[in-house]
Amino acid sequence: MTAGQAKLNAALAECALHAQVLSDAAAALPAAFDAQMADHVDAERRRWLDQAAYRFMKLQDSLGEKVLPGLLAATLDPLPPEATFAERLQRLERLGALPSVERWKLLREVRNSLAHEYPEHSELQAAALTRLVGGARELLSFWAAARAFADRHLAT
Amino acid sequence: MVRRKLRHTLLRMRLTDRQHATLTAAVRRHFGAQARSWLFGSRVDDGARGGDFDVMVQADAADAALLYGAKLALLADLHATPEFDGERIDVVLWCPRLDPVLRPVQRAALAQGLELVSG
Repeated sequence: MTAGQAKLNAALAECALHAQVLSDAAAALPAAFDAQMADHVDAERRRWLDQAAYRFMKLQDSLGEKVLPGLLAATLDPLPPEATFAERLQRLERLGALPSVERWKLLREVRNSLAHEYPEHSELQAAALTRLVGGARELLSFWAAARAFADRHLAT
Repeated sequence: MVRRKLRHTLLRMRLTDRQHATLTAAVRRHFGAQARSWLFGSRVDDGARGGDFDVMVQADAADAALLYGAKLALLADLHATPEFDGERIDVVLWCPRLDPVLRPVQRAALAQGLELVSG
C-alpha cells in the first residue's frame, strides 16, 4: 500500500465516524422545523442539533480536503497540478465520485452558515434548522457516493 | 442623483468596482430587482484592513424557506466568482413582511452601512 492510499484509507475511516454520528443525529431530529419549534428547542434536541452541526462541518471538511483529492489522485487519469479546485470537482462529478458540483457548493454554504449566524427571525431560524437536517441527509448521500467510488476503484 | 450616490458610496467602502458589480447583480438575481443591499462592518471602515464582507439584503418575500434558500444560493454564486473566491461573506436578511421590527444588527447595518447601488 502506498503512502497516498494509507492516507486516503485513514481519511475514509475518519469520514465513516463523522457520517455515523451525523446519521444518528439526523434520525433523531425532525425533517422540518416551524417557528415555534425553532423558538423552543429543549436540551436534548439542542444536543442533537449541536452534534449534527459539528459532524456536518467535520464530514464536509474531511470529504473536501482529504477524501475527494485522494480519490482523484488514485484515478488513472489525474489532473495536472495546476488544475483549479472547480476543475477537480467537475472531474469528480464526471467520474461519479461526486453526485453534483452545484449541490456540493450549496452544502458548502450550509456548512459555512453553521459557523456563524446572526440572530434572525424565528421563521428564518426554522428554515436554517430545516436546511441543516436536509443538508445532513444530502451530505450523507455524498459520503455514500464517495465511499462506493472508493470501494469500486481502490485496492484494499 | 443615482450616480452621485454611487460615487459617494465607492469613495467610502472597501469594495472594488468589480466586487460591487458582482454583488449587486447576484443580489438582484436571487432576491429580485426590488431587493436592496448594504455593506456594513469593517468593509466600510477605511482604516481597517481585510476582514469579512458583511452584507444586509432587504427582500420583499415572506417565505422564510425561500429566502434562506436564496441566501445560500447567493453565497454559493459569489464564492464561485474570482471577486469573492475564498472570501468570508456574512449575509443578514431584512424581510419587513416577515419581521417588521428591526433587530440590532439590522439597525446597525442601516445606521453605519452604505447602500450598494447598481451602476
